[in-house]
Amino acid sequence: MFFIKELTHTILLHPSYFGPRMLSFLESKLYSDVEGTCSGQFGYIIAVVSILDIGKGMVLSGSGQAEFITRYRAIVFKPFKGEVVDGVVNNVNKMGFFADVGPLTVFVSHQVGLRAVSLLAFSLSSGLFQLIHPDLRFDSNSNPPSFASVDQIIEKSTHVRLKIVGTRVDATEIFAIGTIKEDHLGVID
Amino acid sequence: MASTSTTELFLPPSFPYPIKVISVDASSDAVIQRGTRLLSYSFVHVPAKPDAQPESRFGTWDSASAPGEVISQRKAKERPAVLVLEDCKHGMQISGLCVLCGKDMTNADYIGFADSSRAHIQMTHSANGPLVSLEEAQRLEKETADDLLKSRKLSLIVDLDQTIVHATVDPTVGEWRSEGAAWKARQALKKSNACDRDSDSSESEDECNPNWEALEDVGEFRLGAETFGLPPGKGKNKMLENEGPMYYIKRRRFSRTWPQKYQMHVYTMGTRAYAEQVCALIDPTGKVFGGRLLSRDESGSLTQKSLQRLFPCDQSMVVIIDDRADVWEWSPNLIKVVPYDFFVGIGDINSAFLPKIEPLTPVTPQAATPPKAAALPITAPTLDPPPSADPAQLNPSLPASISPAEAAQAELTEKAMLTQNSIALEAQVEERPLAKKQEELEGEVVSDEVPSAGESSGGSEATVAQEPTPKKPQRKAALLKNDDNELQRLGKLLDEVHRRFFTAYEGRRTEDPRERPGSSKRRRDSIKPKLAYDVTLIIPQIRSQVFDGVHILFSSVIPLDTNPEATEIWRMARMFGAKVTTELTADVTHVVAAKRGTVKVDAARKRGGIKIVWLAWFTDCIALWQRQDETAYLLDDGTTVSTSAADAVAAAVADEAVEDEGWDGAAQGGEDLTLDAINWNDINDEVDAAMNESDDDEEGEDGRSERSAMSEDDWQDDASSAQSNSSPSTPTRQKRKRMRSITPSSVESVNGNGTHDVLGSPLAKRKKVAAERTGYSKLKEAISADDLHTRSENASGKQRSTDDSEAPAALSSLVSRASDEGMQEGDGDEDEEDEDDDEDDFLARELEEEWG
Repeated sequence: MFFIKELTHTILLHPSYFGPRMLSFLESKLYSDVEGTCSGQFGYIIAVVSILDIGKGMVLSGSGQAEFITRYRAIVFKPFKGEVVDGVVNNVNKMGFFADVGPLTVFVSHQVGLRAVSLLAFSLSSGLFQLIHPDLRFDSNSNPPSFASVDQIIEKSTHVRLKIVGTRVDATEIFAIGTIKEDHLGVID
Repeated sequence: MASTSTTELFLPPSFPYPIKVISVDASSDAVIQRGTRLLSYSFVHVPAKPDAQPESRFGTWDSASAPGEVISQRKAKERPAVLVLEDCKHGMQISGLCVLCGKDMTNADYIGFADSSRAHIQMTHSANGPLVSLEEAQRLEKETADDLLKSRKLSLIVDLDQTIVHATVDPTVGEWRSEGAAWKARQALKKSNACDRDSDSSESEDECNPNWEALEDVGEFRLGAETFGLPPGKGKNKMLENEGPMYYIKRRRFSRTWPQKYQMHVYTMGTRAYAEQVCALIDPTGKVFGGRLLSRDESGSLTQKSLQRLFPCDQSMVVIIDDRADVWEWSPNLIKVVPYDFFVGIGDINSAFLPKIEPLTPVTPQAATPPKAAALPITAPTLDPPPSADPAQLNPSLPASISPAEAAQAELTEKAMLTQNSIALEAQVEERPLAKKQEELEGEVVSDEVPSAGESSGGSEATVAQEPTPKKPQRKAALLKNDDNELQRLGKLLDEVHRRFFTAYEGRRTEDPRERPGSSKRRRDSIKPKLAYDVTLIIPQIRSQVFDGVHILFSSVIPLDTNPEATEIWRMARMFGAKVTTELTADVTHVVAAKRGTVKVDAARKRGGIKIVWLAWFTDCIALWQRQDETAYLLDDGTTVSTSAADAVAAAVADEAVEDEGWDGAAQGGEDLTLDAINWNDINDEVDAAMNESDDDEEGEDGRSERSAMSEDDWQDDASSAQSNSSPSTPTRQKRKRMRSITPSSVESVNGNGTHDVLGSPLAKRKKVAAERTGYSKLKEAISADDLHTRSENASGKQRSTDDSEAPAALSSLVSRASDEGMQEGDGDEDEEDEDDDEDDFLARELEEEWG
């Protein structure tokens, strides 16, 4: 999901940059520093929308560098469990496929899970549990490798719609697992 | 279905066994969480104090499993204590996430157990692919196996460097290529122009780079600078840092039918980027490899390749081809190929950090090379890679790149190793080993021409020396050549493996149709190993046919202070089906020797019927997976070929006094006979007697050779001195040796100056033939032959026994007439002639030529 979020970033500026073009340099430094990064807390920082406050520029004693605590507004992307996203397949192997959802890579497994017929509420329905429809079978002889059924084929650079079933957030990385075995998910034309 | 999805829980080994279960706290079918108490037990504790009484203590077992389980069963100690039905077994995980339920697996609970440890097998080609549990790995493999069986394929893992390609970063290649391309363009231009004006084309006969023909299909690409891994800022490397080196890839031709029989994987020690580029070159459509690419970035080890990395459970359908067997730890799936050494002396650019291969001492004396080169035109240049095959060794200025071999154990040095590799690469770029080699080669051609023209006597040897070096007499010599057929040979082997596998498979299936084809269990249970469809059995089976029935005795191959059974060569011999012994037993069929004149060689020679071959025979056999014809490798060839070389030594031989005397005396006797020309009958009798005695005599000789078993060199000198002395009557040993040689006597007799005609020993022949033809003539008149005569006649007697078959009757009659006349003449001027037997010999030959 995308958010517009106010964030801060600390820039240390070397004294050699102190001068008339300092501000523009700070801006470009901010863009290059934060855009495209990922923090566990907020997700991927897609783009800086505006700079709210470039900061005061405190010169640090000792090094002579100036410290700017910059406040800016940015578009961030954080995936959530249950979220439906569109992605592009970038790698297919016999265990499943990887799809790029913007900066995020989602793995969709072809594994057949045997979910217990248990007392737990969410899986009462059946013992079989899958993330890819069983009609789609891995075709190792195809080139490039693909999952194919009679009417559908998933190979590299196919567009798919998928639902995120789980995420794991590191300090600097986000991992996600997806499924295409639900209504309206799968290959999109 | 339920049984497969249950998880077995065992009592942990840390328990103070024996324990006694007091109570089961979680009843059957109960829902349990991680940390739920399952049972309580008691055990007997003996305190550490010496006189303490045993006391009973109590403990509990808390479930360390995932939450939400049902206890269904409880079993005895060795069996799983509890069967738990899990919601999700987390059998496949990716980056700490279960791919099925999407839960985070990295959280460890209070006892330090994290679910991420449940799936730890990496079996995809990519580094960040999913990890699987053993159960899941088996399931996936079975699926793959079923697929492959259905399409009648096996898996084939190929190595890149020196197996199906040869790569270099030497910029010389680029220069040669651009030269060649320019030449080609000129040719094309000329062709188009030729229609317009003919006069011009003949004039501009420009010269093409000699290597262009082989280089034309070399692929090239550039990798980013990061592969060099150099610290930035080294002034002279700036260019390299900017764009990285250009890699030149020479493909080895492999058959297009391989992909029909094998699903091919790449497993290389190169980097990912490199491997991808190479694959793009050799397989532009991606049909062959289809992304099944494993590089050192994913391999997990820089020194080893592991089949388990890709096939964790079942390796029965996998064939590996690689130029190095050590990195695979001599896996039974491996078919070793002869390393591709197209860019001569470059070696493997991606394995500077691998331990050096000590070539299996394929050194043969120069003399033994020609027959070998003739027998193996396919791989002769690649078989014996020059000792400087490694770029690191090639550049003595880089001693650092040798050290990684020792340091390889420490994981920390991994980075250092990579740096070394890149340094070696860089060195290759800078030092241009190929350019040097080409220069050397061109120099060699010039310098070769001179001596070979000069020394006409040693002509045969000079050509011998030239033959193995890759050069063509035309224009400029080419260093690089398209002369590699290794993969064609390999293709046959692969076909054979494939055929055997599926023959066995079909047989098995028709035999027992209910059996699931892919079931690995069935394969393991196979009662009849011959029918088993298992590559790990088929390959060793084919391999062991190479030396089937061969019983090898190594001589001066295995160092004395090592345990022979533990050595590489011993294991190789065993792997290829040979029986190996350390002593000369009755069954020994082959003696593989690294030098002449060892005790074993002599003993084997004495016994006879044993093939005594150079080590090269052995190495060639195991390299080509085919038993080579031994005649090209026989140890005895060396002495005959190196005649001229031995000439010089001949004079120095004084210690064999008895023998020398014998020859001199024999020569003397021969002359005497010629001059006197008497008593042929007597001599004839003696000849006969000698023939009868010959066995004894031979034994005597053998006895002698046994006595001097240690001094094979003496032996050789001996022989050569015999040749250089050109004594008309040759000692017995010399005789036998000659007979073994390939060189026919007739050729030898015409053969020019320095080397005298020993075999013909025309004088003896003449005498003998004359004796036969002339019958009882005036020669009858008795002169008692002295001892030396006897000796000479012994020899000539034997000579006849062998020569009779060789010499055509017509020729011999001619010769006899000639010799008669010669003797008549000899009667007249005997005084002059007895000075020099050489002269006599010369005359005789002249006569022979005149008559026949």
